[in-house]
Amino acid sequence: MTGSSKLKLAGATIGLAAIIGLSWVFLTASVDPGPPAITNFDALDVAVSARIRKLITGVENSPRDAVRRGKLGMAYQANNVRQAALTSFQQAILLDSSEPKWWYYLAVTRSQLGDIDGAISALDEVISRNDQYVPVHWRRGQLLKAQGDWDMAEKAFRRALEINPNEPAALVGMTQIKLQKKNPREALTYLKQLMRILPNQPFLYQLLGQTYQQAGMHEKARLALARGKPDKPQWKDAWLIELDQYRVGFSAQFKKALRLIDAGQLPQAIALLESLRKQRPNDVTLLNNLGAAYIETGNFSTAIRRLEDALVDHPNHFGTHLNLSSAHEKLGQFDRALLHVEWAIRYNPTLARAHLIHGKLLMNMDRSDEAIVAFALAQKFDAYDIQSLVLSGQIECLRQRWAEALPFYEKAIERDSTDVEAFCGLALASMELGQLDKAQQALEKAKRLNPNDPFYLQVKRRFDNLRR
Amino acid sequence: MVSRSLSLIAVITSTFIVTLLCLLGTGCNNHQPDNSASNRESSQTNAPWFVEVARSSGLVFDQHSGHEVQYLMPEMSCSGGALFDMDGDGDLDVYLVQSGSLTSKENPGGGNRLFRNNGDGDFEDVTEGSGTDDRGYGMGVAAGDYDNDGDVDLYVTNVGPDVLLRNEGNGHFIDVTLAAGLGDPSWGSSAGFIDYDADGDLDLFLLNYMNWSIENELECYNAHGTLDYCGPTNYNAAARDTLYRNNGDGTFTDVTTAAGFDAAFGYGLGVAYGDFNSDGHLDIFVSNDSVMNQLWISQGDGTFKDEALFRGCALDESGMAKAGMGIHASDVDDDGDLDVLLVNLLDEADSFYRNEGDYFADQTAAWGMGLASRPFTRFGVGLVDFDNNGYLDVYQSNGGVAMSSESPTDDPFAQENMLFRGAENGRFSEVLPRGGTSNRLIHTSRAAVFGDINNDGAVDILVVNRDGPVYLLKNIVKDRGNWIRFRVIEEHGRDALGATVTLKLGSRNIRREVQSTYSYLAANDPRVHIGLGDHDTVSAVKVHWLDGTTELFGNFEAGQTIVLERSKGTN
Repeated sequence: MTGSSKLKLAGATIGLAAIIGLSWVFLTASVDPGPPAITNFDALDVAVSARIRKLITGVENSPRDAVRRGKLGMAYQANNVRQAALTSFQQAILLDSSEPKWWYYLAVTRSQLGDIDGAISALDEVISRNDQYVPVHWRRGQLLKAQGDWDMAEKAFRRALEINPNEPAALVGMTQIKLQKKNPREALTYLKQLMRILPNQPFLYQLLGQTYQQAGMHEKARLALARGKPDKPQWKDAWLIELDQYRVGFSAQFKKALRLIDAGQLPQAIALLESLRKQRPNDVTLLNNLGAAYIETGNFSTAIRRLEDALVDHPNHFGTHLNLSSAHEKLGQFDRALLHVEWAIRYNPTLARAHLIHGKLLMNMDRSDEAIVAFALAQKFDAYDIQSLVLSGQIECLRQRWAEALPFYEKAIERDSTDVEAFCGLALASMELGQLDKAQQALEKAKRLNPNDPFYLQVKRRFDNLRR
Repeated sequence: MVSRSLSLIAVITSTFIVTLLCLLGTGCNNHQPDNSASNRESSQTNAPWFVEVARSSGLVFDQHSGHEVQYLMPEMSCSGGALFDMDGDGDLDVYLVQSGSLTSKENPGGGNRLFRNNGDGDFEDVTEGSGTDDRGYGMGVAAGDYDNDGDVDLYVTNVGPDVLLRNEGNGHFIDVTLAAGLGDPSWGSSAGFIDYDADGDLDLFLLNYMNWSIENELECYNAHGTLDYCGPTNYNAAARDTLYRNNGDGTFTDVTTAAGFDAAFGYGLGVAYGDFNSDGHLDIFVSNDSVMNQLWISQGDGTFKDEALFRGCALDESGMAKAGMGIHASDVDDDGDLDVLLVNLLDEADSFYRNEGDYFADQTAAWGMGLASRPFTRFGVGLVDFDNNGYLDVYQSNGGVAMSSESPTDDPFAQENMLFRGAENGRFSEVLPRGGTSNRLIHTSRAAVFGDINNDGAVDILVVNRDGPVYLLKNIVKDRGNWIRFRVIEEHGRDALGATVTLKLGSRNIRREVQSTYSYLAANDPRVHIGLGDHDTVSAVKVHWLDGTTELFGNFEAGQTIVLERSKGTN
């Protein structure tokens, strides 16, 4: 090597060293920014605030640790602090772009903040790292569908179905895409598959109704839509469930308890609610739900204690009165039950459910006329309530007032043509009035709906006897 | 050694360059989160469409929710306003409803306010002595000439007894609530005058939000886990809406039960009228918060049936009941029937229903409204052609109902409003800067009221903000298209609310409604404004009156307001 060459090499080395030094400074500045902290910690539950502060400290102690930044993002996201979650996930990705979850959470956060193109591109990053995680495909499909890009959305849903042919979210997506493309026949194919996987889901009847409407089958559409009551489909997404673990605080725990109740896990729900009761012993909503859970488990005396505690600060809380009514009824204390349901109605006179409970109670107390009045009020305040009609019909049948029973059943069927009990009641009242053809038609419909229904079998036997 | 050093340097250098490129966002999209917040379909214009001029125009009004410590549900609803021609001088005056206090008889906001438009862009507070300063806890307002005397009267909804203010024609109003048989004591929200029985006088439809009292108030927690306002379903106390028939003698009769409105309850916030099934009778669409919407289809005999579920507009395409707030019905796709836009809560898309004749199809995504507004809670809404290009645009006034820890202002509910431009391809795209103003306006917006305040052929917007000043958004769209406006009146001079104007615009058939009741808690300019784009004339202008008759009013040149008076056209 010549002297000149050595000089050049030295110069180059120094130059590179300078670049490296500068880049070090630059990189340090870029990936070591402080963790995003919100300005208003007071707006957070104490437990949420404590959790986030702890995670922030962790990030400050190890600023190059992508996992810590990702977890901070999860805590922000789970507790609805979205801008800070966004920044945290971005910082985690800068430190370690190989983790698909950070991209996934980034996508979810971006979509919530309205950055849909950004969300889709983050989902693409997930797919490039883990193509087998099904929710990434249907989530991508949902975003593309919401953008009105039917073809790309369909492609995404198809990919999800390639991995799991029975993935409900993707099947729903495909159904909706087919409807947008005015292809009700194909929509129906996906719907039938869905109905096998998720039987009796109200939202599927809503989709079915839309499909029939588009196909011009309006009568079928009406019947389906009558069953398509409001529903919020929930799709399984393991990564989001993982994120959910970061939801802390009273409110989050309370919601968790309600989910446990919905899932029928009553002992776990009660344990959680009892622990929350120690934090907020006078919370009427908590105590009311706790009381309701105890009723479900048959522990009526504890239920009554909790519910009466709820009324101490909130004597007008109609929901608590309704639950107290239910608990007393189970204990055979009808007068007390009646008193509480009447209080509930006084505080919320248009609550259909209260009138229905009132009617049932009166029915059990053999106060038939009053029960029918209560059921009429339940009907008045909830046009979609079928039970009050069927029960009114039952009362009239028990009194052998067949002609009076008929219109209740007919109205119930008009509202919901899938109610077996209404068809059976109609058949019974009709046959007793000598209208055997009408009875037979009703029985045939009941059989089509559920040939093993005990009420159907009973009425059918009576009908066969009469025919003989 | 040197060669190893060089290799190391080369590796480090290349790593650095790649990293640098990454950080600059140019070289490795696979590893760099893209921070772009732009929506694919944002209208990439930076020219503002509106400038905020409330205070400089003399429109000084701060809304007061009365919030102190306890979170009382009505405080969240805010209050609305009306753009109406109080004095018959041809320009729009302003009436603003004040909320006040639910716990004290003193109204910290000083009651409702009336502002006269001086015709030169300035407003004058003429409340004093006008008889309009109702001090109830105010919500919405309806405007219409219920007594057919040629001037516009007001009906104010309150948490507590509502008020009917009869316009005496000289800037004075008289509270005739009791004499008229009105004064619903529950929590009224939106209301509007409607001649539902087509008998020539205006009846009144009133939404009641829920059965609420301060004694029954609950404690609820938001997603952050802190105390906040409850959602309506926490109360399980949906209310019945009310229909009053105008008896023609200054009094009204409650016909709610007889008309069938007992059949379904809801948490009604927005209402729009129109003939949704094209059978010649006015129907009523109610936007409900968190439960199914209602579409009350007139049976033609004074009764109504809720057919929303069967017609596919009670729920969204996934079967979910959204938190419906404001609503506007208009023929968006020029096919001659009324489509409907409802706006909803944070994380829920809007609900844009296309009328397919027998049913409604959820076209929110297809029309480009599937995503952009989801980070906001929208209340006021209008389908209005602001740039006069011939296609309806959308304005939404937004504000949260649960506290955010990340609000850009001291107000934890504050959000920006949004503006979308309609185009020939049938899709809407967001106009930037957000909300159409060059200055960022961030408050907890609720009611948006639409009308051409300065009669310059461009529709302006009045926005009422919770615990904040109102916005008066003056339309300054550059290079607006041509326009024409119709004031459609019955023989005695009353705006023919519910009538329809159709006309030919090139190959398109345009249909617009004579309507004041839409958006949220609002009474809007009832004049029919139509953007014409490059067209400088319109032909075949036809009015479809409520009684089923039609009249033709010939061809008109653009750029003027035409009065279409009943019996003055040709059959």
